Amino acid sequence: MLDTTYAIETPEGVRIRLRLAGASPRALAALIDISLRWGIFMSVAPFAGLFGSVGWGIFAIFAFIAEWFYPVLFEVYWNGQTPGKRALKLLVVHEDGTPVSWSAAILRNLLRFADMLPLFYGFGLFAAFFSERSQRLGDLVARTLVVYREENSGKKPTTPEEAPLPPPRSLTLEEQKALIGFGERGPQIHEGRRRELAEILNPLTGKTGEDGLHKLYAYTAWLVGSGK
Amino acid sequence: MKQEKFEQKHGESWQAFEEQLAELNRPTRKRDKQKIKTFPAAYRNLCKHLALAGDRRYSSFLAERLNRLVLKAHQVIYRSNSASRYRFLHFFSHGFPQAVRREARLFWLCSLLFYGPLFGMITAIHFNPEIVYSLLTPEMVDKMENMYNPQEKEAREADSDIFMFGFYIRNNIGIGFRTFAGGLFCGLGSLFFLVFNGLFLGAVFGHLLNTDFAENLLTFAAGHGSFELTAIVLAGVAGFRLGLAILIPGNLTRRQALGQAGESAIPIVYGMALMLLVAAFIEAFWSPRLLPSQVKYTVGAGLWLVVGAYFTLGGRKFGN
Repeated sequence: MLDTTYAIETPEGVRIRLRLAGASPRALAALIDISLRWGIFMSVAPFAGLFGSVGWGIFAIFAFIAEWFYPVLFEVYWNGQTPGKRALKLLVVHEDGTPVSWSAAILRNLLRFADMLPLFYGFGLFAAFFSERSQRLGDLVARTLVVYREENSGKKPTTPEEAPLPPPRSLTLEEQKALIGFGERGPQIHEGRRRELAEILNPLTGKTGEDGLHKLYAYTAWLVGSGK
Repeated sequence: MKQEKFEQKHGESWQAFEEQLAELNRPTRKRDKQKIKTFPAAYRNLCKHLALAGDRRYSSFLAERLNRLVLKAHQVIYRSNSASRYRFLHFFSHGFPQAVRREARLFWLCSLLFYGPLFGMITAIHFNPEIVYSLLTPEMVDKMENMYNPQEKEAREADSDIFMFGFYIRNNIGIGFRTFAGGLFCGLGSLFFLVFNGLFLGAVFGHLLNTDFAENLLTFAAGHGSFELTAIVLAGVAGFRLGLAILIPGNLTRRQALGQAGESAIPIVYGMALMLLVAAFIEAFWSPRLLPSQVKYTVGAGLWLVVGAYFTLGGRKFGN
């Protein structure tokens, strides 16, 4: 299956699913971070000049920390997110799902230098495209992943009110799941599309148009067990 | 069991679990111990629910919600302990020297790759002074000479000391990090940086030794040489460690070998950066001081001994 899900098997024997982030959102996040860092530089630099040599000396130290450790500080103290990553809902974790540690964050960011070669993150993009878990070189060595943030998707979708009706024939588990999914998301889909999808299941419902749709909802209500 | 019944039956326990998670995300001292007592058992229960939800093909929404809860709990339970003060000190007393000794063969190889070109260049310039121009432009050579020319020498002000301190940090530690990162390409990057820096330093030294400024240069470099040169070699060692994982993964897959190499190399990288920090401090605040040559040479030699002793003896167990 063409999927970017990554499953961690925990010591308790269950599988937690994480969604891996591909090269594009990561590239965008990197752009945001680069711009932000550049912005900070530009705003601090004029002040450095005011204090003469001492100012420039301290600025050099500040620049050094910003160049190499800007992502590290954010990743460790902000749950694996830099401002750019947070904007794109990404975060950095270890391969076993735990939050990223100092060593891993430092390692993956020092090796950013290798990822940046030959031009504009060439090697990094190449590695991220072709690696099984979308890891760039720094991620491979540090054993980290960049995944999408799992967050509450808001209110629980409710199946439309329908009197439950058992489907005419028994369905496989996969089919049941698909039907339940349709029931839950149906109200959010565009009306025409909804009807179009319901039409596909004409052989099951024996009805067309709105009737077919309501019958499907009825099957869903039965499968989910509502109304009892 | 149908999905709705499942949700009704366990909904409350999931709600309670979310509250326990919220409690655990507070700092240790502020936690309500009673509330989180049943957390491990509740977690095991939740894992069971997650497995059931997947097995019975309940809706994705439910599965995702349980997945999210389990993930958060997994992170709370299995996250690694943050570095404590003990581990920090232990790194200095044991971790770092042990890590370097572990890579003893790489250390000697990188020393050869660095000092070989360095002394080779010095010797070559001794016999043929023109060779310096193969690496440095005439302007750079002039600049170097001016830096050490006794006639231009005034005592440096404190201001510019701080400026140079910042400069050395940014420049030197940056080179160290790049030497390390370059090693990822089968060691070639580290090789390049080691050899090139060796040649460059050899050219500068070789040329200036031929001039009247030799003493200035030597008294200047004596103080921080031990830390800086050893750190450059160590950067190469860490880089080669990564490169070797790709070239000779042994019994492991390359992915596994890289991961292990990263773990082995990171203490050396930390130590190398700290050594360069010390070197920058010495180079900015001690080396430019106008003191009798004897004092400078003695301190320099002493520091070489300290560095040597640290890596040879540090973190060893003595006797029984």
